[in-house]
Amino acid sequence: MDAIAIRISDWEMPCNVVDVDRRQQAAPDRTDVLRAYLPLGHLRLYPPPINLQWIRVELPIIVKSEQATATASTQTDVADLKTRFIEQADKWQRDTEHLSSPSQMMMHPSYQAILGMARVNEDEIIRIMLHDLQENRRPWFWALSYLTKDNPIKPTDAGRLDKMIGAWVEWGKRKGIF
Amino acid sequence: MSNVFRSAIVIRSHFSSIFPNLTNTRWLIKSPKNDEYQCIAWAACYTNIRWWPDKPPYYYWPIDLDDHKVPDHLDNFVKAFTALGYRPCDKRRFEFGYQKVAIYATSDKRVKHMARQQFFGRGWLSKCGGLEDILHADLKCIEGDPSPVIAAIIGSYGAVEFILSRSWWRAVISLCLLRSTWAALRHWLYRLGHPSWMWSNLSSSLGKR
Repeated sequence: MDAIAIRISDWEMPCNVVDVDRRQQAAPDRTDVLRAYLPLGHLRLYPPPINLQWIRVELPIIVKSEQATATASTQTDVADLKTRFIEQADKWQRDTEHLSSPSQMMMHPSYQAILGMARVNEDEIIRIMLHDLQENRRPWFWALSYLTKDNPIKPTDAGRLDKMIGAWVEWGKRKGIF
Repeated sequence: MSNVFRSAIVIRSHFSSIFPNLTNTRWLIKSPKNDEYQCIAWAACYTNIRWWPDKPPYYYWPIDLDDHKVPDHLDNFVKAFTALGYRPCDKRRFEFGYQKVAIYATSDKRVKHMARQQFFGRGWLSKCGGLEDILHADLKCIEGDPSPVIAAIIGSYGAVEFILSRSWWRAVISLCLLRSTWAALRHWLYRLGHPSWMWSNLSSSLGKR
């Protein structure tokens, strides 16, 4: 968008809108116009036959509208992602709370679904997981290590849930997530 | 979360839905819900740490792992408990002077659960993941299908694959008896302070064989 704006402002200075309109009527198409004007000098001085007024007025509105739509869409996506995450996490906890085997817990479809969600918005899932780890103590250690390719847990703290959660929370603070 | 005390009725209906074999048998709730330890740690008499052979280590494991086998292979568990003084044993029934543990696994020897025999042989103690510790009369009460596929789908413990035993003396000098008595005492004190909980636990276990 910036590149277009610069070119428009460049064209504005030498351009006479009335002249452009007259040339537009005379020239049958853009190719002919370029062929006709190129020998006379730089294209900047002889702009192609487009309605500059229309662009100058309409373009900023379009950009603002797109930005607003994109922001609203992102907020909805994040809220939707969190809802779906909590739904799957609750189901995962309900079905695997009696298990001790991490591999058996990770094979649950809800765990896989959550990892699948990370393919769409990895940073957001990591953020939600860390908050869930802190609030609900659900063991997301393997998923977090897989997604972040990091493991802040000291070998001496392995198995001590409070310290493991603390290590990931500290990691989140260092990365600016908390 | 250190301890979460759920109503006995809620616990019983929850466990009955997970372990159908528990229905119509007499079993007791022996601890509050706690996620700081699980079945393997409780089989080794620890209540403050999670035990599991894992790579990279997210859980505590007392020995180095065999690189040629998957971490949760039966042999890794037998080795670890042998280091605690246990020896292979072929009898499930109570033997005076011996403490026993049972390893539950699927048919491909991937371990899913462990239970420890109550010191005086009243039954088997199972800490079910992050849920409560229960005392069940028989090892079959929490057994499921030994197929690895079925175990993965329905989250069952498989079947008993191995029994280990050690002398009471070894249990005493490893402070196992002291730690498990202290855990039982804490829960008993809570129950004493909450008669309604004790009543609901007793009344919901009455009438079971």
